[in-house]
Amino acid sequence: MQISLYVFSHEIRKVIQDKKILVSIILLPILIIFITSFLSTSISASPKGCIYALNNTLEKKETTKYSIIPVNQKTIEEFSETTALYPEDVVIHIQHDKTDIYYNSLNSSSAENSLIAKDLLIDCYPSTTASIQEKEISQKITINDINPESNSSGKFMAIMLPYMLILLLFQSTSDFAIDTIAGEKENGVFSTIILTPHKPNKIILGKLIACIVYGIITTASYFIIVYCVSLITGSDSFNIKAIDLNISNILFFTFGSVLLSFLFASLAVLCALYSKSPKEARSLRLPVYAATLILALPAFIISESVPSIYYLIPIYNISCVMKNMLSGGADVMKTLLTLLSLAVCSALAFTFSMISLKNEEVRC
Amino acid sequence: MITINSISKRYKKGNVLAVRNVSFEINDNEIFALLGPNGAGKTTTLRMLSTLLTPTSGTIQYDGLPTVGNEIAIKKKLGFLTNEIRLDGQFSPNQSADFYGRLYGMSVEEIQRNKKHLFDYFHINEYADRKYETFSTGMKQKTSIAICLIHDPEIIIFDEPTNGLDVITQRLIEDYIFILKQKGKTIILSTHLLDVVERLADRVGVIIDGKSVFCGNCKEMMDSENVKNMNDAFLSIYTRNHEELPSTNPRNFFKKANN
Repeated sequence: MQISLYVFSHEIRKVIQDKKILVSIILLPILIIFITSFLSTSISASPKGCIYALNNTLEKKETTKYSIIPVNQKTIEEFSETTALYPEDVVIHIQHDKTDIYYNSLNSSSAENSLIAKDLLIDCYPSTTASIQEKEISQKITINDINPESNSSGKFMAIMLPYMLILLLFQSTSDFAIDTIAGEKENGVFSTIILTPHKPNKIILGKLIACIVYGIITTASYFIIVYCVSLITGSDSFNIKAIDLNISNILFFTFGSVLLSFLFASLAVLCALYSKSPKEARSLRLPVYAATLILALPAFIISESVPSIYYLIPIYNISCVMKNMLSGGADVMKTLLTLLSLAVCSALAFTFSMISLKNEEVRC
Repeated sequence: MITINSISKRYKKGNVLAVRNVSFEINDNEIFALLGPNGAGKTTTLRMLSTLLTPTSGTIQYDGLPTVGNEIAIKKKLGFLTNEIRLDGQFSPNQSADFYGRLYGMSVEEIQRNKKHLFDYFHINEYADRKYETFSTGMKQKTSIAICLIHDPEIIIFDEPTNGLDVITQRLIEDYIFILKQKGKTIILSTHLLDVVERLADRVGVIIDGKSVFCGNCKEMMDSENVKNMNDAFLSIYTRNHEELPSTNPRNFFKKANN
């Protein structure tokens, strides 16, 4: 293990000494900002993602305290002007299984009013249904933000973040693996290292760890730089507040990224080992790249829940789970199934890489 | 002693039989030159000696220790340099020496001592902290030799170490090969420069079309062919043993040209 760690530190030192890599780490996120700004503007402009319906029977009425508007007839612009929305006659709509209160987060009094409306509903519920508990009432009431900007941005981020994460991880880990193995094979460095008195597995393991660490660090740095630049420039293309990002989600993203990097690095190492040059390795990687793009894509398009069995498909599964997590609807079983599937696939790819080192044509 | 006993090597890719029943014995503390035309199987033989390749049949033994299954123990004794072997372009000779020294399990003091000796001899000090990718061919080759010898190996395999180098660098390397012999090292040398072979080698092995066709010292080689220099001796052996079409035989080509 000591040798693997030594090879790992050597690889990382190589990255640090390569100014081209460091520059690309800075430049790529800026490019991403331009792309995401463009895409997010396109999505925000579309009214499709912002249709809200509460109850068809509501009519517009002015009360002393709240303005009540039939939601299904209103446009987004009108919503933005509304201070608070809740059922006109609480008693009528109290029979519903679920009651929605809408507010506009851009208007501070609207947010306050939504809480007042919720309290009002909680007070009214027991008068109609005696047996109901306060906790249950609270669960029946949902407060929703109708601000179209934060909503579309959140949706956009929930879809884009996993997709970007998967692609960035794939690109960075596999590029690194190809350069460090196939590149070294081509220029003869690989033979020099293989000639040292150690099992080739230990050397490859060191390189694999370097690929994983490099992949995670570059991907994380992309997101951090994009976020920082968004904050500085005031661009909402990377509105991280719009997504549901809590501690458990962050932990899953970190662990999932490690597993994904492990899988991608193992696959890229395999491609690099069976190649004599980076060009050949990139050709071999092409089907894996295409498969990754294709597998990550359905989560981008399909919104409805899919059967658990589909969560055994690597890349597709993590893409779906990440998207669901950011949208606030992750299933524990599906999450576990995803992690298990990724761990098994990564372990298989890694084992196959190690076994293939026994083949001398792979080593030389 | 290194015993090469009837080794053959067939590459799976293209189903090429590169080496056929080659047998040699290389004594301790001698310079053994391996000769042969391009594509004769010299590099494949040297790669099998270095444990990079495994013979399809036959055995190689280092002091009775077979290479197969003892790769790590043998690699500790070996230094192998070929034209194909290079160092990482991102690193300086200093960094590379430290890295490979550590991989060979050397202490920092040992690395520093050997590095100083080799860098002084090959005049690497002046560019010891520059990146390898910025070097000229000669600088690269000298650095590669220094790194290949950083762990002070007992057996050194040089595959065309002076290829593409100027006369000064060639002589520097040749002299160092002789110094290594004086230090008690065993050297296996593959080169096309037969005057170098005549000057340095204790014994010579000739491989043609993957087969070993001669093993002995330079005088024996010239005597066997009844010629007075190594070039003629080699050409004569080659002509007698080469299997290809007559038109590709250089002696026939010259005869034809003279006629």
